[in-house]
Amino acid sequence: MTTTMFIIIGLLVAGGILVIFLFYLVSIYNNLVTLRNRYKNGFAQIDVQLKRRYDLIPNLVETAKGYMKHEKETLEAVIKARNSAMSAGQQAAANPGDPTAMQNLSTAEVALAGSMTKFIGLAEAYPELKANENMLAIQEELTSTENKVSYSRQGFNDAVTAYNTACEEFPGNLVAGFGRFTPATLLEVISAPQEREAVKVQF
Amino acid sequence: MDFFEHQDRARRSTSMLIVYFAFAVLMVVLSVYAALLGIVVFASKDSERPIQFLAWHPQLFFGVSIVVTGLIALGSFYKIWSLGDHGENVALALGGVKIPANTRNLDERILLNVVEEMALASGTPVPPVYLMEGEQGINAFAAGTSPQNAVIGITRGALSTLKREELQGVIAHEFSHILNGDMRLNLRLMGLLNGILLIALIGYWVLRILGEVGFRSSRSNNNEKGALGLVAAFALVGGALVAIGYIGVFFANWIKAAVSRQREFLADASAVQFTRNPNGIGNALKRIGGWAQHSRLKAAHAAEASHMFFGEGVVSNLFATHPALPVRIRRIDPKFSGEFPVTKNVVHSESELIDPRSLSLARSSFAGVHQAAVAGADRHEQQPQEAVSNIGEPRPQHLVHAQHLVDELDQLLAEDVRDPLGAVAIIYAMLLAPAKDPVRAKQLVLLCKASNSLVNSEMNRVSAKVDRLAIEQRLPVACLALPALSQLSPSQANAFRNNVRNLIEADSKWTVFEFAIQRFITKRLVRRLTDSKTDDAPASGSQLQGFQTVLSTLAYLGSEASFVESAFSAGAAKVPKLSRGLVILPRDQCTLKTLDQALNGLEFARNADKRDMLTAFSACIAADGKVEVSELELLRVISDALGCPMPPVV
Repeated sequence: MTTTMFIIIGLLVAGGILVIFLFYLVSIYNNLVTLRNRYKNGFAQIDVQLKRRYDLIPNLVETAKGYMKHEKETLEAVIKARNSAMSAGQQAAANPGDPTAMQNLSTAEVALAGSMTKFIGLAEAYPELKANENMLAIQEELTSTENKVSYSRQGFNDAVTAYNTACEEFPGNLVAGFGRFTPATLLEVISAPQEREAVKVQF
Repeated sequence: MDFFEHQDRARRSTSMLIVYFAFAVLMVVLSVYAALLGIVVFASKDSERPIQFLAWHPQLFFGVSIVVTGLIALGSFYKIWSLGDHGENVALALGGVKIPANTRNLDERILLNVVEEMALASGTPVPPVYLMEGEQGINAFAAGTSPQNAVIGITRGALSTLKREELQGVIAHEFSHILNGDMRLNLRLMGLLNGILLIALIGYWVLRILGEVGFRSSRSNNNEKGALGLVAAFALVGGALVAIGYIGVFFANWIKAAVSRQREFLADASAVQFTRNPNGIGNALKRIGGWAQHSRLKAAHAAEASHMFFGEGVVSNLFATHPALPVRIRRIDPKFSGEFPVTKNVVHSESELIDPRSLSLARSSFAGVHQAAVAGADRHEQQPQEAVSNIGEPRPQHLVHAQHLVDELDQLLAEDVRDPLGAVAIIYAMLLAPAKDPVRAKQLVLLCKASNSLVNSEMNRVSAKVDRLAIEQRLPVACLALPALSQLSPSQANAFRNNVRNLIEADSKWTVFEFAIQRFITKRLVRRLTDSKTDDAPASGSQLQGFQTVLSTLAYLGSEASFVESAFSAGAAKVPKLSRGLVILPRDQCTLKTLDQALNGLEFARNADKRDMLTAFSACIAADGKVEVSELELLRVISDALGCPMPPVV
């Protein structure tokens, strides 16, 4: 009788420990899912403002066209860079955190920022354009939108880092391999003027 | 029936639920016991010492009850624990994706506007909205345990078939669940159900493992007779567990359906009362009837959450968690013929961003109300008491007021208040002292040192717009920033919290507005992001002392020096039961900081006591015959701290 009792109690205890362990694994899994959702959400935030910016740039170019008749190539380059950044943005939105998508978006954004800098620099030479109210308003909105993109990007990168850390550290790494949690890639773009300054100040 | 009674009733339903549930568990225990007994007797039939068939084997019964209740408890606790208090977990489990607060998709923008209006009108924080992209049925849900952590979910089908007023009806229905305290009940139901389901799952696992083992042993040709007997016994146990588990689930579903159906009628009725528009919710229900997918859901977890939805998510007559559509519609529209017109997809237009009814109504009534506020003190004498009776029961005028505000905002700050960076910048700008005040320079230096340069540049841009806001618009606008703020990453949120604290402490005294920001923004944000209450200062003293502190503070803040004591006793006189022998505290013990601590202790008071306290507070405010906007705002903050969402002052 006593041995059977021992066996039964032993089985119960072992079963209990097993169940608790299973719950533990499930909770790790759930945590990873939450973190993954969080960074995907973070990208949605960036995406909204990126689209806003892609909408604003053609307006800006359209306004400038009338004044900058001899800078056709620069204007076309801006639109071209905007178009390729937009399609890179769409791919990134479908797959936030994917290494190639993030890399492509980064490259396209740097190219766009370069052509925009050139364009704005040239526009400085046209006093009437500089004084155009429409131009000023769009430029202000563009700056604000770029700031918002940068800020959301910081948030996204924080979320990606939190997720990656959880995937790599014990015990998350046990579950991550099992549940196909692949590491996500940060979005490294420096586009807003304020952000460039910020980097300078910090280092 | 008012807010407090609804809350109490929801709590009573929860305790009834526990009783039903205990009965279901007992049934499961008895069935497992009977099944095991049968198997043991049957298995020992051919052995040397057959076990006698006796109905009562205490040891067996004891063992079975411990194991079965243990398992059910484990399953339930696990589910309740993993769902947590936060509605977000339910939304994610159902495949929801959070709609960014600054979305530029027209359908989503209209929906978020409707939700913002409802939240402002009822005085609750604006809940995040989750879209279930793959679901084509017309449905929606609210989840969470309190207005503070509630989320709203909606299907793509609903968004693409419902017009603005119909969306409004559906959202008002969901807000009624939030305000009536149904959501906590719903989450607990989900947990308990899971516990019983665990029994069936274990049976299923036993059968599966046996299948594997049996398959292997038959291949290795190792068919010992004893082993076969053991396998047969286990197979019987497994099968019995599956059967019993599903019987348990049957009862649990039945309980769930019974509890849920009544609450749906209530929510429908509240939606009509709230929007004063029976067509909104009535037509939304009719559209479900005329839509090929009805309100059906595909998500794997839809069945366990079916009681949380607006319409029936899973087809079943026995366990219908919602009353039949025609019955629901007839309660709203008695003339309904029973014929559902065919539902088609709608194309939303820009004009739906704002409520057409609010335009004509608001422009006239809003201006009127404000004139009355300036001109007639007699109107204000009644107001604080009215405000208490409006708790949890926003009226159409609150909705109109909120709509007007959202509409006005659309022209000024909408892009910013819904974006994380813009929202942070707006809150900072609101906390800055007026232009020539030396404190402002100090605050700006603090910000420059501590915060991101992006934030500072945005703040400079929005501060001119923020300065144009009227005083009474500031707090509601700040409240609209909450969804965007809850999208901050943890480190951004931390920086935000520290900066807000520094800005407020820069002049070492709190204004009512700063106090309200602390309560409405910082605290709500912390609860949203961390699911905890760690930011709260520990409650000081007993509930009675808390009540005394709050009442004294209100008396000092709201009255001239000669009138302070009579204001206090006017409040105390309203609730002789609570305030016997209570005297006003000395002035130096009545600051907004002590008020903050006192409020933390009052959150868990009984509902009846909360109502009494709020009545006393409003009487204290009204005692001197003069009621200022800041006093009413303070009353709202206090009410909110007590967990009673109070509609804005209109």
